[in-house]
Amino acid sequence: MTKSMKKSKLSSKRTRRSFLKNGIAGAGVLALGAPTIIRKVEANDKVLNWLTYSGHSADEVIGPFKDATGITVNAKEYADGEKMLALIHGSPPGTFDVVTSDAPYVELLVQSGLLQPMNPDDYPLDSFFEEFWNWEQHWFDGQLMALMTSWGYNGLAYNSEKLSAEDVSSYDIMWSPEVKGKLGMRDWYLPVMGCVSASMGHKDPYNIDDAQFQALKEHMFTLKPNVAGFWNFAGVFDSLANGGAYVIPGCGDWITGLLQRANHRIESAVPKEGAIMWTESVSIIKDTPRLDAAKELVRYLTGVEGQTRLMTKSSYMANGPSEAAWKHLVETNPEEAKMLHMTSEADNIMAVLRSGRIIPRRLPKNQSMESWQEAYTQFQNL
Amino acid sequence: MRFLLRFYVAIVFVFIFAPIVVSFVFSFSENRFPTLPLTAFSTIWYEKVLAEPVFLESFRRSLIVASVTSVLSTFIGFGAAYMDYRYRFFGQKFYVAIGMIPPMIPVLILGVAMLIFLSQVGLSGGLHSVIIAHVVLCTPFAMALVRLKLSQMPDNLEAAAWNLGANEWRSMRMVVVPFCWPAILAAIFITAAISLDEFAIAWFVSGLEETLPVRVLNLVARQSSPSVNAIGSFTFTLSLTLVVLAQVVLVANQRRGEKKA
Amino acid sequence: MAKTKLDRAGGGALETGRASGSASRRAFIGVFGGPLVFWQGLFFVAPLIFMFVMTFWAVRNYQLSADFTLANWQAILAADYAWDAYLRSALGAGLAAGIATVVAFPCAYYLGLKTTPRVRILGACLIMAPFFTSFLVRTYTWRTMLGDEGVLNAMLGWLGLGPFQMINNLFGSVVGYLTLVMPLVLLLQLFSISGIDRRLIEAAHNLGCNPFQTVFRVIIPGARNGIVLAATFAFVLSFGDLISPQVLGGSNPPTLSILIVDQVRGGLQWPRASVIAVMMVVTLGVLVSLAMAFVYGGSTKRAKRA
Repeated sequence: MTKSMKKSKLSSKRTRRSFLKNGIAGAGVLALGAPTIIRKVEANDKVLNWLTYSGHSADEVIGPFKDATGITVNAKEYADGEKMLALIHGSPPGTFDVVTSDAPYVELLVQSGLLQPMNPDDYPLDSFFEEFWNWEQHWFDGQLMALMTSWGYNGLAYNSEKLSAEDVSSYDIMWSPEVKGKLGMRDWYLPVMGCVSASMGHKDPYNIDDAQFQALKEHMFTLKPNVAGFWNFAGVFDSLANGGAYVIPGCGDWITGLLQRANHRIESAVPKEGAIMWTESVSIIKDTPRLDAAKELVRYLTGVEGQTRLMTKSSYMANGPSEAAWKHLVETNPEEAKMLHMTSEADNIMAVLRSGRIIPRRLPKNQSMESWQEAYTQFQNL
Repeated sequence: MRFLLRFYVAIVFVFIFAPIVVSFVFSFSENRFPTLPLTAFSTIWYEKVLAEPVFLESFRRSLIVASVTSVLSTFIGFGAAYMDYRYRFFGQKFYVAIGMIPPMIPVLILGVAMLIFLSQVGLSGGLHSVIIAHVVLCTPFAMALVRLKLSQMPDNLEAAAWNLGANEWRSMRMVVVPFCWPAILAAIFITAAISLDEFAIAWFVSGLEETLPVRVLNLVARQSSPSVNAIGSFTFTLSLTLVVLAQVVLVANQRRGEKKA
Repeated sequence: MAKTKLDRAGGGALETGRASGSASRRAFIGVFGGPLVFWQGLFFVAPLIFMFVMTFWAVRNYQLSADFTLANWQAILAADYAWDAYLRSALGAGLAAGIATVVAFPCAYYLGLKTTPRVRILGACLIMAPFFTSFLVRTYTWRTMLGDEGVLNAMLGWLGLGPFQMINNLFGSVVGYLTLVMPLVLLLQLFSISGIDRRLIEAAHNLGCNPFQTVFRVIIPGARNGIVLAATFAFVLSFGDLISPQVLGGSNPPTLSILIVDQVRGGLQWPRASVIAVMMVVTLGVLVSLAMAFVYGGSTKRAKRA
């Protein structure tokens, strides 16, 4: 009884919807004379809708996947995680099949019940470094909800013509008169404040008490006289390339590798106080009708080919969790491997990670995100 | 005096065109991050753009959205401006307000509000959604342009038509539309241009149907790719071509007009 | 609409044309006046109301949830940085509107009155051309040009000047705003100047006005509507622009549009972001209605007197 009522309600709603839709389409057709404005994406297994970061859907990354499987990937690219969350919450269910997001956002997606548990046996986890097998930010109640596709660190990016490796071995350089007016900042509070927190000796930079948070704020505010500006990615690239900044916290090889490719003498360092880790993970949306294709894409992105291409993509470089891909890159493209510190030498990036100097980025633990953001806004407003 | 004025006009145009010309130059620079001095000449960014089928597809979508948007919003804006000009009615302030408010709302908020609303009524996630939002956003510009032109219309013009027995429809066709024609043309161009350059709302409501400015946003914001210089130069060249064409048509029209007079 | 009583503005002469049937007239009003009500009523009023309602909602577990709380308003209205940003946005937009108005006027004057129709049309078309190059691309190009080692500082360096800091500050933001609004301001001014009755200008000339007097006594009053409207549009667009203060101003310090983005970034505070948006809409709404009253209110009065 109730079920059928519900059903009829639904269908009447749908009629209204299609009426409105046809009305708009009609207006469009009238105005343009074009036959179809609305093109329906077919619900077959050869199409996949993927919500991901900018640059991931280029052919240089997923070209081989499309060729091998014949699956068309419709990608929706985003630049900010918060806008991604708003989009995924605001869109009708079933809009997306696969989503790539920052690890802390996986938790938010899981809380909203948007993700589908994954079976670890379906994916080439054994080709990953051991550290990434049971990545804590991916498991919820014993279920695997995401797989890491990329990671990197946010330490200090610096102009090696102006500063030495010695100079950037500690965050102290940010307060030095040497970089007055040449200290750049990212426009996102989380990595920057993580770096400042680490610089104060907090081993777990996002897990600090209120007194420590107050001290962090005051310590950060003393940076202001040196600050040139607060930039998004494009601004960070431009400032490093064009001498607008000599040092920027919250950056790493994933940014400076691109500048090195273009022959700029810009490098990255993990200061002795530690750097903040960023991660990107891929998940499957709950109840997707295209589960097989979705699994196929996740397999590709975590496999050697996909991993290697994610590492060296032209939008931004990245380290990857796959040991097999790492080895492959060292053999086939040692130069890029070196830019990513993915060498077979003793001080490679995995060694730094194992030493504990690369700390996973989290959401603030004892304070609200709002109060952290507010502190950063006050800092900008000084 | 006239020379000084011309020189001044030239300087203002230099300001307007400087970023376009420089981006044109950078689009042929091999360097990923535009720096001085320029390094080698290269067409690699054009090749990259053309190699991705997404580009042409998104351009096609943008053209559809822009043409539908410009026609619809110019018509709506024209009608609304005429109502405001010709009649005094209850709720007129409110009427004008819902016509004028959209550009005052920050696009990020308008984008989210539009997304949530359109998906509630089952209209999100396609080009029609972008058209809906862009008409909302562009109508005020058309309305303002036409309203401005109407305020310059001599009162006796319409009165004469009425005295000659013309009804509203006829005087609209014979007097008002011809008088407002330049404003209508400008409104069509400007609304098309606003639509062609709008990415913030389009990002939210377009679903998987990415339009060109959304593509450009993705290339700029996170990747800093010089491909955007190539895209910008491409669209600019196209618009200049249109300018030249419009020029020819308008001059021809003008000649005819002068002969009539 | 249909129920409202309609009166034609203007003199009695217009009333004679009323002979046509009222059904036809109603259809006329429906066809030209209806679409705005239909479209904005259907697609804009709801999102607008939603924006306002959202300011009373709460964010729990990083998710929007319906509520009735004044906490968002309190948080924003009590924050010093929000008011600083408010004034800063107004200052930047005011500078942009003022500079654009003053700088564009001689240009519009030249194109509107001092040149052949051919050049005027060419000028108008050239003014519209930049609209078709992405504003994002133009802004990022300015960034490269104005940087510490950019094109402009290099050129000034040859003259033995500089380097000047031209980005990551208010100057950079204003350059961005001007890039955004200059074409529109020029176009609107050109529109109204070329609509001035030439006989008035000739009359002023015959009465012995020199060119400057003609400009101030005839042309500026005659083009007043366009000038004020253009400046208003310039203010509205600059006040809400995110790209210029972010890319060229370096968010240093932030404006209201940047605060909106940051509210969303910090804890997905769409409600607080909406509070800021409502503050902006109210400010601009008051400003625009004042400008419209000044422009069209005056002209109606004049028309009635005549």
